[in-house]
Amino acid sequence: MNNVCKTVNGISLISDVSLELESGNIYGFVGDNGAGKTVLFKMLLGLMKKTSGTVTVDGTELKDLLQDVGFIIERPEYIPYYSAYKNLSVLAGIRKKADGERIREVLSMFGLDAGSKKPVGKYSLGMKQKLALAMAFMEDPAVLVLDEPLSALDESSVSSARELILKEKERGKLVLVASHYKEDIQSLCDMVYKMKDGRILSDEVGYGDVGDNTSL
Amino acid sequence: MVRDQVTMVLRKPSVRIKFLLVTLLFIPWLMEQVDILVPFADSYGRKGEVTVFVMLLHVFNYLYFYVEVLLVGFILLIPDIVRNEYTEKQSVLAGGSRKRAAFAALARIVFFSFLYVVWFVFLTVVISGVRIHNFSLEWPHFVDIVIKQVSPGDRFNMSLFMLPKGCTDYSVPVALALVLLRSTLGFIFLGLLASLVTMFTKKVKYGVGITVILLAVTLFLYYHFFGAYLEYYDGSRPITDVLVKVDLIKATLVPFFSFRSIGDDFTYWIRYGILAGLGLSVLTGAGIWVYYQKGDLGDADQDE
Repeated sequence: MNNVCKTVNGISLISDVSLELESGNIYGFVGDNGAGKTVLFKMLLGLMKKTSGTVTVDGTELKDLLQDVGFIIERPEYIPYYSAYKNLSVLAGIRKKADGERIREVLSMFGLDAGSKKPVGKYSLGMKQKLALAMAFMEDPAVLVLDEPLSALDESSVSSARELILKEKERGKLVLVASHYKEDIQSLCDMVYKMKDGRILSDEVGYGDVGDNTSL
Repeated sequence: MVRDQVTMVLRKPSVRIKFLLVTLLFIPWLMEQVDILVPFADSYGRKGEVTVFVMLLHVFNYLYFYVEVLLVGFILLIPDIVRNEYTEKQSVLAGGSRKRAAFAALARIVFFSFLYVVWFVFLTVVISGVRIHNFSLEWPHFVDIVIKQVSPGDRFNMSLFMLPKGCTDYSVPVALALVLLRSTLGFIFLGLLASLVTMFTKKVKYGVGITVILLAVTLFLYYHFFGAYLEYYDGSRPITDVLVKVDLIKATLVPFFSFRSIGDDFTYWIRYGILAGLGLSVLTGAGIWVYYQKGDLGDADQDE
């Protein structure tokens, strides 16, 4: 990202952000609500158009949607009257990268029962979050963009999800994580960027600078 | 992607309930129309002349049918058609291209508009078929008699029998195809307009609102300003023809679905309705396409 700005109705959401992100790393983004983390992620995904600046992927400017990416952004969307398996298979049917076996595998990775007929609309918040993670991981994407990936999960699920995210890093994936939880950031990230009012306050923040509060 | 989105919408319980409710509203309405039209035709001394396809033409030309049943149902379905869960983020990104996402959004609205018309055509054929038993594709003789009796611009004949003069110049299948094409384009336009407004405002309620406003304006102008013209002077025209009159009804939803009255010319109004529906659908469709290419996607519905 090079000098990227986003303005909506005269209000600056992202100001002059420049970042260089490399595969095989986990980058953390912290900041208060409204700091610009989600907008930044949406611009990286190509969902939001930048007002100025450039986003370049492997030397090519991103003009459309980012390819080969798994993500959790804001409230994940589901088809509430479908089961978890059916939700994933509908999505998998678009690119046809994941087959039934992979869907079952990824659901069990996050502790969900692939054989369950229970509609997702009746899932608890934590189960929905697990499904969101399964969606993000399903097609084994090169890039993972995860906005609050571990919220609403129970303790054991948090630790296994962290392990899975770290494993993706070891496999050479690029992972971006935004979280309000210090522990998530500390345990996962190689580098942490602190955002405020749409700006990145410094290129890199050490864990010590992130603060001592449990919640960021 | 298109097939998945269509299946998703069709499986929504809310869509099924709404379809069921509109169907329940439609069945007694149609049976009442059969009860009116059959004795009306019989009164011309030609018993048993009403055919299922003439009934179909009458129903799909009839403004009250749209006002009381079809448009009500379509407006109820707009939130399900213009937006679905996956369109917002997941399927857009999984599709991997803004062009694919735009195509899927347009195809979804076109498909549902078509399906909506087909469903009520099917119901009309089945229900009136059970009552009438006449599936002839010929024009019944009483249609000619009725049309010849009507004076141009006579609006009150609409309440009994809605086949404007000139329709018998076409064969029944051709007239039917033209009428159904016009209605389908009308629904496509309304769906696309609602979708476009929803995209720009990020609120489904405004998408629904625009169709409600159009319907309200249509009814207001139809009932209170029937036959009224918007007049202006065009200096570029010949001196005897400088006063240009624009029929106010033409600026409403009426030409997309019906005629002003049985006294109107079928060819003129059906051509106007089809061209207006096609033109406005292309225009709104282009707006949606451009938005998908240039706008911000993936915003959750902000109605809450």
